[in-house]
Amino acid sequence: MNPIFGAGPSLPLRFFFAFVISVITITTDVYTDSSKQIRTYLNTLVAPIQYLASLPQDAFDAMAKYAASKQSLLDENEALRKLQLMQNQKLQKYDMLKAENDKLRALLTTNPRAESTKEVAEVMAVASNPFTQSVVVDKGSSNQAFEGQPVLDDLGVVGQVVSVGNTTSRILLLTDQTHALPIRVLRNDVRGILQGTGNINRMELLNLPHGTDVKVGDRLVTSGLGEVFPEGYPVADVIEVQPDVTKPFMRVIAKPVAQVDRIKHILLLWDEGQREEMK
Amino acid sequence: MIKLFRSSWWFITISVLIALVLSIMPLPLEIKAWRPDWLAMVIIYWTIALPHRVNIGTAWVVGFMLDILLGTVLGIHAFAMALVVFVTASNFQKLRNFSVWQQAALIGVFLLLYHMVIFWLNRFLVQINFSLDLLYPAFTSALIWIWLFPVMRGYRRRFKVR
Repeated sequence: MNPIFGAGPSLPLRFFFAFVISVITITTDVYTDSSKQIRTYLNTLVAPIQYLASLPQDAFDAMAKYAASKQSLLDENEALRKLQLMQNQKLQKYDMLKAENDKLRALLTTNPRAESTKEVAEVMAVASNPFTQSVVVDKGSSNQAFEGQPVLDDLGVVGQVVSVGNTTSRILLLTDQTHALPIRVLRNDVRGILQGTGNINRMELLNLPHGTDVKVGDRLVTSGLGEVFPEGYPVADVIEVQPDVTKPFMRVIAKPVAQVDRIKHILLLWDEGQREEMK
Repeated sequence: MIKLFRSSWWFITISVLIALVLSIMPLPLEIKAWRPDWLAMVIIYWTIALPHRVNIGTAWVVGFMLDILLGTVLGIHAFAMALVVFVTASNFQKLRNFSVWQQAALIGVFLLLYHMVIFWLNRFLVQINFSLDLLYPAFTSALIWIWLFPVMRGYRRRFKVR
């Protein structure tokens, strides 16, 4: 019943099996695409644990909301009203400009820019492994989230969806060192690839020849060339340019516009009509 | 017999689930790097106490779940966990006879190995650099073990997990 010499294969043999299976899963996950589907099932499977882990934080947030004083709520309300007024005023102009732009594009016989569908998702309070910069959000394939989906916050690009579960999905932040996206400089349309460094405040422009017209303070926006991110969303601001001619390329450091380290609400983006097709 | 088998598994599963939740629970930035390896410790405890129940296979599956939860390449934590449990299971009789303090020191060493393996595999797959804070959890875990071991033993005896 409680055998000292347990039945079954010997320890080294068991370990050998574990080793072989690990090698198989690691190679499948890294070198093939077949793990995407599997990951969806697995993410769905562990989602309850994630919801459970984020529960204390959620409860704490709810309590903080409940305990907020009336005066602070009134102040906040006032500030938000002002903000809305300002933004509405901008929107009025935007509608006019959009109509004008569509007309001009029609004159050039190019397609008008498509509108995108958005949905707000909340970042769940769960930790991720320290080697990657990713967050888990509370929307998944049941909300038509998909792999490679662009993710924004109110300021700019945040990253993209890398794996989807039924009710959760994981977002790779654009500052992760495995993440890169095509950008252009808003001022003069110089194109480039912006890669994360693993540092929350630093991203690097890759392979930019010396003498390229990039200055400190330039705004970098998505160029839409990678066909993941739609065109024209703000990504980062250049904070440092090192024209060191002994190096093969110019070193340009940029800081993401989105507050990547303190995101709570994010926007998932769909192309026009794409979401309805997925339903 | 069947009933007993089932209830033992039930209690082991609960403890593992709690450990999983604790391993992904958000922590303040200042102490984030010191998060103890709850899951590895719980699995090591069960391996020492009930090697015929929890062994390399269980460790691998549980490590795999941690991989999914943390979003790492599938199999990294699973392999590291299996390796640590292999070392533990090979020496479970010796480990049982050590005092808690000696055990804690050894668990610390095992977990250093665990984190080094995870780092090496990650290094091999993604470009990352070594920093010493990757090993902090091994020290906190060794300290926590002094408290966790009696707690787990109490849990095992209270619910007669065999």
